[in-house]
Amino acid sequence: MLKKIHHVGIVVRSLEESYAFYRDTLGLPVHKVATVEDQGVKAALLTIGNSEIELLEPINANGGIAKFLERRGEGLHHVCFETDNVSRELEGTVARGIPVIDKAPRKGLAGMICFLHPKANHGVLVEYAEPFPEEH
Amino acid sequence: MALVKKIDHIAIAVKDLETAVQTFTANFGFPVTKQEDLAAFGIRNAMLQIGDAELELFTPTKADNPAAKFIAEQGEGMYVLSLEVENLAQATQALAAKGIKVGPPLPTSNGGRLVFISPKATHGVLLQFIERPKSQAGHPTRND
Repeated sequence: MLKKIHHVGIVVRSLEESYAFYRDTLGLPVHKVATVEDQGVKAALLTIGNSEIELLEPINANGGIAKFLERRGEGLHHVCFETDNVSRELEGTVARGIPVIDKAPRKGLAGMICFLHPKANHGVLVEYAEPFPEEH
Repeated sequence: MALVKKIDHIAIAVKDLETAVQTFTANFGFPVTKQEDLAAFGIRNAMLQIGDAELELFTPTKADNPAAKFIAEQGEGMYVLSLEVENLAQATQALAAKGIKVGPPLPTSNGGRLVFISPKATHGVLLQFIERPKSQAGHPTRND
């Protein structure tokens, strides 16, 4: 079952520059920053209510985030729904014939995650996340 | 203290509302809480509940609605991120004090108010601040 919006992902040119608005003006605390090498991205999670805003900065020219930035510019990138069991959620999604990007859950910043294909959801890139146990 | 309380909703611009509602309810099981024809905004929409927030599926009903241009140029997708604030006037003033351009306050269909913030200030995100009517603050189900 999908419980809530875990986070909304926003692509930015520079985390440092985007902090001026999201951290300093909106007053959202940065609670985690990490680099995910294989995704070519440096990400920051900022707490908002019981969800987060995830700022995504490309660290090389090859990843999906760099391509998005080049094509569309900065802006809304994906929405992530939280689940108790990402494997079961993904199995159910595939069984309903919904196109996915990840065939199996993988480790991400938000926990064990997977992405669905945006063509399945009217252009919206949807992620599922099962947070790591210590972050529940 | 944060200027904003929580994510209120994410608005998704779609070509055909009925098809999109069918897709999102079938794919995710989110219940539809409300459907409206909002002539003042030039859209028809449906609200789907997810936890303490909502997804808004909407389609433009007028060719001059900015979302119609968005769909024509970029295709369907996420269009607005709406954040709930306790006091819209105070939150708007806090942005203005930093030189951030904010649109005029607009009434929502259930007695709340909202403003749009220039994407130039928000790194490309069309951001909205929304103040719920006091009787409904924090309750995503709208019983008006």
